[in-house]
Amino acid sequence: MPLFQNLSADPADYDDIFKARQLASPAPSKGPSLLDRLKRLFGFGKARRAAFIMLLFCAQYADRTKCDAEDERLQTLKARLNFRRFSPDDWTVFERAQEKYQAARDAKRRDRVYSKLFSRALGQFRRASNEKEKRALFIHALDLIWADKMIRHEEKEFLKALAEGLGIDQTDEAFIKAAIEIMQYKNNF
Amino acid sequence: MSLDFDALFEGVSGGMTKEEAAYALLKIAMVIDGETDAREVAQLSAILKRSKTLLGAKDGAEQVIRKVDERLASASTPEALHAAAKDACASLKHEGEEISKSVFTQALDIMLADTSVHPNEKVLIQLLSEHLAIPDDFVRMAVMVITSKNKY
Repeated sequence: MPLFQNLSADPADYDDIFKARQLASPAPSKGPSLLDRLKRLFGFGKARRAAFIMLLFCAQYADRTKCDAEDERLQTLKARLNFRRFSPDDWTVFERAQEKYQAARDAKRRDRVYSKLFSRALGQFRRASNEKEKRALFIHALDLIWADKMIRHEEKEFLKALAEGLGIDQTDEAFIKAAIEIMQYKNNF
Repeated sequence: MSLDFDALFEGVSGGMTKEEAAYALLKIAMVIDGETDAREVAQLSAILKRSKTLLGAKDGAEQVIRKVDERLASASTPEALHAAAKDACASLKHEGEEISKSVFTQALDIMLADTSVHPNEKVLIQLLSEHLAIPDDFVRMAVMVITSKNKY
């Protein structure tokens, strides 16, 4: 197993280490410059945002169709995320994934493209995100899928795979139940 | 000339239709913090476009929106908006727990869309939970889920 596979990519997880290092070494550090560290942090953030967007793509195409209600919900979410955390450039991964998916010649090939995108994005997001972000992604996926006021079999399977893949199915059972109940009320309106 | 029943019952609470009450509460949720946040506006617009409750209004959703907007135009203070919210709650409550919970959840989602809670919003959340008779457990669960969602 690669040595660094299980290390978190969330900078917040390393606050203690940075603080400890600062206390232990009052002399100027010969490590990476502040600019380099910021670049690295930004890089991690970018990968995490890309994985988040890819998983939204997977949520939208979980039933292998594109529906207007889900698309509208996605646009609302996109506008909100672009308000502060995301940039319009981040969404090119969504367009590329969509092109790749739609270019596949038949349903079997589309399935293969979808599965590959899903497992890659899931792995990236699981490694790069903290528990709060995993929870937020799960609720956004649920909300997006429920926009057309129904949850199809394939969508249920997607949510199950997402919860399992993020590792929140065991630890956050009560949270998942609460999220489903609240999103049901929200989307029944 | 027919009687204007709206005028005759002015000041008596509970006289809104289900659709008017629902829209009034969502609109109040959007404006109660005194700011027009783009995320809250987008949230309300998205709801209006897809809500089966509002789209199912007898006179059409546009009529509902016009009527409520006219009424809320004169409510320029948080106190007046809270009073209008109480009236809407009185109208909606007897429509049943399901729709009350749905509107409460949607209103919460609008208020938390800008990721902060204004003091007036806190009062409104409290008011809605009390006047729509939303159980405490549901309120806690809804706040937890919507807050978690809007963190990202």
